Amino acid sequence: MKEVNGIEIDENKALRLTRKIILMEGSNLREKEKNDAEMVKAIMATIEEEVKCY
Amino acid sequence: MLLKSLHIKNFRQFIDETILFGDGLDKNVTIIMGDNGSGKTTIAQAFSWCLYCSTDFKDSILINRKVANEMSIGSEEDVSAELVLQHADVDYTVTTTQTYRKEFTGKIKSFNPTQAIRYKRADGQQEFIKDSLKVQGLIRKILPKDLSRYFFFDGERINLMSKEIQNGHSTTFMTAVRGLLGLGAFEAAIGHLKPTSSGVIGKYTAKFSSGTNTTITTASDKSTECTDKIAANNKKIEILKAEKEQADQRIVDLSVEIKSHEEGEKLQIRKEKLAGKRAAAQASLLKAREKLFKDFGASANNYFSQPLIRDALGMIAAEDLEGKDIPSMHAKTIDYLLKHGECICGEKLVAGDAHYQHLVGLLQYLPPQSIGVSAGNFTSEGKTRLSHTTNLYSSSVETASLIESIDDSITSYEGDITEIEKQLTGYTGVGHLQQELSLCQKTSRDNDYKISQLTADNGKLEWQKGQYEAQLQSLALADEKNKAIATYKAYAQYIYDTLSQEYAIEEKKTRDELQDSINQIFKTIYAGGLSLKIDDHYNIQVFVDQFSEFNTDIETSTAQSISVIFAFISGIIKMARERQNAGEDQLIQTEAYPLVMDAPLSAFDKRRIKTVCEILPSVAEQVIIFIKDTDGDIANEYMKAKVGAQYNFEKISEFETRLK
Repeated sequence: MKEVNGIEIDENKALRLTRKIILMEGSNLREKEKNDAEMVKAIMATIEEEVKCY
Repeated sequence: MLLKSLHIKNFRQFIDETILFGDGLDKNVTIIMGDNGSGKTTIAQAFSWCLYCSTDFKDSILINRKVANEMSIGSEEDVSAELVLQHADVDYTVTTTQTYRKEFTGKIKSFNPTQAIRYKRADGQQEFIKDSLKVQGLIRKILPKDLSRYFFFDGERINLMSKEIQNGHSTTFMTAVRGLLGLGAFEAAIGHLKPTSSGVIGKYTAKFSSGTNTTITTASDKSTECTDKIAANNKKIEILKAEKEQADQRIVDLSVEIKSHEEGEKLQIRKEKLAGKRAAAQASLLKAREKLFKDFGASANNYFSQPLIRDALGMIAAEDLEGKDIPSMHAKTIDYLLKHGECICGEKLVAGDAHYQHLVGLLQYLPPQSIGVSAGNFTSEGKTRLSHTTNLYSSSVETASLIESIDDSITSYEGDITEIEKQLTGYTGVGHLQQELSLCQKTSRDNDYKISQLTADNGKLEWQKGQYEAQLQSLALADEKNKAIATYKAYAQYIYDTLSQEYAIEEKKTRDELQDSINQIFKTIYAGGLSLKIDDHYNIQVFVDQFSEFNTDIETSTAQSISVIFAFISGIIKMARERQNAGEDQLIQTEAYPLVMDAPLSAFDKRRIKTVCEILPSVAEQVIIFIKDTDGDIANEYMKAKVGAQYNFEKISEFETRLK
């Protein structure tokens, strides 16, 4: 477990999130479906979903 | 992406032609041969037009001239290009069509091109897309325009790329290369997660709910403000650094250039001195000429009358005029007597008689026009003139000789100036270079100062941000809703930090791999004891292996430059292909692309053509090359085993070329 700003981070969860975000970005680079603001929203939603779920 | 076929209709000099590209694993090369002006570039541009509706042609009218001439008034003809390609195991047919109409004035009017894509879905259903936005969206998925220039390039672009990859280039280039090598997703993720107000971390900071405690809002706002200021400062620092780097490079280049102009500068100074001497000589010449004319004007009368005066004085001296004048009498006395018709002695005077004539005869011995007086006056004047006469001849000879001498000097100066001007042909002086050097030195110094100021400013902002963040953190953790936001933010921060670190490692690793790959290809093509290095801006520097300790980039010949480009492009394509084959689980993923090159072999000798011909098909998934007949025979010989398709241009006329 790592700690960031007093909050414990589950490294496995963070790794899964990292992979998800990179794959999302890769897909968006190819398909250009979302603009920057939409990608920021999508990343936030992914983080919140992953953190809440486990 | 693999190219299957291209069909063009009425496109420039091609009326109706189809090319089927070699795309097999073993036969992945297509050779298209033709002389200059036969249409190689037109075919290369047809790819760009079909995919992006744009070409590099100056003339926007694409319709074949022969077809256009044969069109009747009011009739319409289509220009079209149809490209069949395979992407991610799906076959796509991209069609671009542009209609042309012959107006009643005889002029050809073009309409906007339209695009359509056909492809078969995984479930076997045929899809047909006509909506231009959707078509462009799909093409962007297959091959974005900004990346296409690395895979479809002509001879002209090769020269530009040579300068670009060796002399430094835009961040767009660096980003594109990183994108090709699969680092684009990393860069985009870091960009989206960043702590500025528009990034994920910044958004979470702004999301903290203050409720009754306004300190949270203040701390959140202040923290975001600090982050944005830091980001803005970092951007400025980046720009200033780039400017400084350019200025420093220019200082080096200008210093070399100014030094190389030393000889020219000396000649320029000598020319200026000679021009000064010539101007002085021309002024002297003008004065000497003026003097010659002035002396002649002043003395010519005297000079040329001297012999006459001498003769006259001699004659006067020879005549005995002494005592012949009548004393104490005046011509007016005689005039009075003649007028009254009576002499002093009382004798009557009648005009024409002997007495009358005698008195008239006496007039010449009386003042004011008595012969003695006139002779005396003449003698006096003559002697005066003789005594004042300068030697016009000798002074004129002297001045003429001076003029001739000055004239010779001017001719000599002009000869020297012409000779220097010949040597100075194309030389524009170093004045403007010195000015530019001073400006670059000032920019470098100023930017250094500004960077240090901004860095110091960032230090203060980081400290302030740390204070606000700590305050925010302690306040947020006391509230459940804010605690959830703080948790998401902490994850976002952790991922951002991890990705930034991983990106730095991965980027360096990718760059090193690319450098190895490029060197491997370059040494095979060039084999001349040179090595390539890629700096962190993806600039390529060429080093001599034997003198690598000097660590300086060397100037390359045309063949070396083109070898560098070949190695660079081939290296990227090779790495992209290898990474594509690494599996879907890899975070770094790329797509294989074809290599379409116009006249790539013309700068090489036979030995290198052989090497290039052997390398290209092995590094790229598909190779399409446009070459001259002479190079084509050699390419065909060396790539025979890999050639899947070959075409020759047959130029029928200036307006028509066929493929066979």
